[in-house]
Amino acid sequence: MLSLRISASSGVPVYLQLEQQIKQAIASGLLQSGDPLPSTRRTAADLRINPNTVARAFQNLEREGVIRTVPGGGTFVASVASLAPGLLKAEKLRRLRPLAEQLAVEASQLQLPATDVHKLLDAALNDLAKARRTRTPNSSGDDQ
Amino acid sequence: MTTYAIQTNALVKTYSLGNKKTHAVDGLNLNVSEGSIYGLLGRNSAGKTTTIRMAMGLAHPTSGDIKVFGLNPARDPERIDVLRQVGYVPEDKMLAALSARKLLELNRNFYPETWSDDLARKVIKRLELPLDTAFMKLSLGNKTKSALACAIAQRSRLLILDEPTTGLDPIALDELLRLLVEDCTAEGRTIFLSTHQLAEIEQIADHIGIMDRGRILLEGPLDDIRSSFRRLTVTGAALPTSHPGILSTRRQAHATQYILQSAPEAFAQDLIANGATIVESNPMSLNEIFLELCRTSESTAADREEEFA
Amino acid sequence: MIAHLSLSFLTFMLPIVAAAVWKIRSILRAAAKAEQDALPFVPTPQPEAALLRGLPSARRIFLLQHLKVAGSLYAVMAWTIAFIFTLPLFTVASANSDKWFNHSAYLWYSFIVGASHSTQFFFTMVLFSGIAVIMPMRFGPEARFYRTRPIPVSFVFWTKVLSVLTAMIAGAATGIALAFAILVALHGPIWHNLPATIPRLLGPDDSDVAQLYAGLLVTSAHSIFLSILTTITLFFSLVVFLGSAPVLRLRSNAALPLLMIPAAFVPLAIVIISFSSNGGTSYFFRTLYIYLSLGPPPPLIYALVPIALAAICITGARLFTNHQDI
Repeated sequence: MLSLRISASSGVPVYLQLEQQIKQAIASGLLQSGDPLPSTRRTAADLRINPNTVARAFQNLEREGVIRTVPGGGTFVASVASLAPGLLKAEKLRRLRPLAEQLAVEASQLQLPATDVHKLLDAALNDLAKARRTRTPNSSGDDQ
Repeated sequence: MTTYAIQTNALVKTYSLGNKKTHAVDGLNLNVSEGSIYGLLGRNSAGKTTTIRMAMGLAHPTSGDIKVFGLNPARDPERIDVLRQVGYVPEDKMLAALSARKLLELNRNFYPETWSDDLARKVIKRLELPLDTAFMKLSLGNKTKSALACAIAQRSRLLILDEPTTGLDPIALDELLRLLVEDCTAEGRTIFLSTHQLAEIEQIADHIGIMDRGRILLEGPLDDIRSSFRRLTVTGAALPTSHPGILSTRRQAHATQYILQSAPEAFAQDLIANGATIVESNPMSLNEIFLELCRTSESTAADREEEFA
Repeated sequence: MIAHLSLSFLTFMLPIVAAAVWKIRSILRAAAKAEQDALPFVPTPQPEAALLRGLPSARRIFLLQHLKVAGSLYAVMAWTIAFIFTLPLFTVASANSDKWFNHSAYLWYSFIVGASHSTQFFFTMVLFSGIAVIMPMRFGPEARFYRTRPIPVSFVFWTKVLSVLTAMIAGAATGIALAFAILVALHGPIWHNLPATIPRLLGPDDSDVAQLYAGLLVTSAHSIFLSILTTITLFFSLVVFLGSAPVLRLRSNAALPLLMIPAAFVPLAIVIISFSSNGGTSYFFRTLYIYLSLGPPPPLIYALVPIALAAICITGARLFTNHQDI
């Protein structure tokens, strides 16, 4: 169901690639709250990557509340409902701040006007929302 | 306290052929922590095999020392304690001139506490190892598989693999990586492997040591190494030429290319503060890092020789 | 004569070759069958050896392997020795035989002289055994395999050295006993029938026979047999010592066959020296309790010299193995 893909030659640390892909899968609805994640060793074996790297990614995700580990019961996607309202808005913004800065730096280096950057961001957010709508079962079919 | 699976301290091994002395290993300091998959990278004759042979007690250090689990691998009875916990695939892959079945049957007797027949069967199946082909008729790849099956089924605390991918086709290689991750890393077990094939190592290793001319050029967690190396292409006037973070500088027609080996962000901010423009900032793959380090080491070695001349 | 020699050589080689061929064929057949069957990996349980139960399984398996090899070596050695010793009993008497005083004297002479000449054969046999013991401990995949398994270096060394040495000595002793039994069975205790003095019948041309007979009278059969055993021990230890010496350093085992060439000259040289022996060299050989030609026996105490030397050589070889790079 969840297909992760690692590019070893990209130069981006593998644990970061993993974190991003899992977050992306959750954001796009591919993974939903309560879904089980494969074990660390299983994930590592499937991807032929180091188990410590997977463990590091999972730990980071757990610390951020994206996933939760039940002792002896495996790892699950945390419910978004329980995570998001629980966080102060200030905290959420603080987390996104470095990404925004990076985007701003790259954009200014490419001399891209601010309006284009805003459009780009809007488009990305729209894509995600669309993906989530098509995947969430109760938003399609039943009502019609 | 961190325990080390393998640790060397100013390790030196010289061979003398006639009047010529070769420093196969030349003051090597290596720290392989337990529970890691450690990739020892280096070109041919960088000293990888000699190091491994010393870790297995097959060669004796000329000076300095090497410890495996804190024990001396070259002297009984400590040596026995080391070997009981180590699986080994040698460079030439020839453990003994036997068919795979005979070799496995012989080898299992040496590790009654840890050997697993189930795991042996799993490796045989996954790698598609022909059990009864006579040793003389075995291809290089199958000799490799045979040696790997022996070492993996030992379920040892430390697996030492010297160029473990010799002769393997891409499918067998992929299965090997899977086996190593799945069955050789649980319970804090360590894999120490040498190679000059970087791609496969880059996938599974979490620690890297880059070796050249018997010394270690770089050692550390792979993710840290990746994040501390960066290639910057910069334009601007009065660009700095020396900085502790710079590994190499290359001047091009309109820009300067820096290879940075530590704190790239800080350096980039300095540049921007000094009015330079960063045209490009790329992370580097392990392969690029390796090539860059070896080239730099080569040119400094050449400089040193010129000084002596 | 030539036909006779080749016939006896054939008789000698036949059982050895037959056994070897049978063994190789059964191995090949088993291998072919295994390849065809392609059975899953189900290891056969370890052979139970009641006497060795106290040993850890790694050492037990290693020891058993070597005992098997030693068993074959023992059989070959016993057969060869018995053959060499009894050969004169079945050959046609040579031209000189009618000049001997009686048939018993001639038979006894042939028997004893065969024993002293068999030394040449031992040198070759022992040389190859010594090389076969020491080289797999220093060079090649087998050396690396056992050096990287959890068995003590000393155990590997002593198992290899002692199993082969014991097999050779026991094989030689068995062969001698066998030959002696055959001699007695065929001709009875002929050594009681030797005339005590040299009869006057011989003419001036026959001084060599007279000399041989004089030599025969003072030769001690016990000493000759004991000498065979001590000589095997000494020469084997010497080969093991030289083979372990750090001077011999090869980067690859490709050069191994080259090693055999100079080594093969050693027994040849010794044989040549023994034939042209004068007082000086024979004194040297006597001291080492090497009994190459008929004559008065070396004092029994000299038997300790080769044994002591052998002990020193083997101990030295053992010390060398600690520091070998493999």
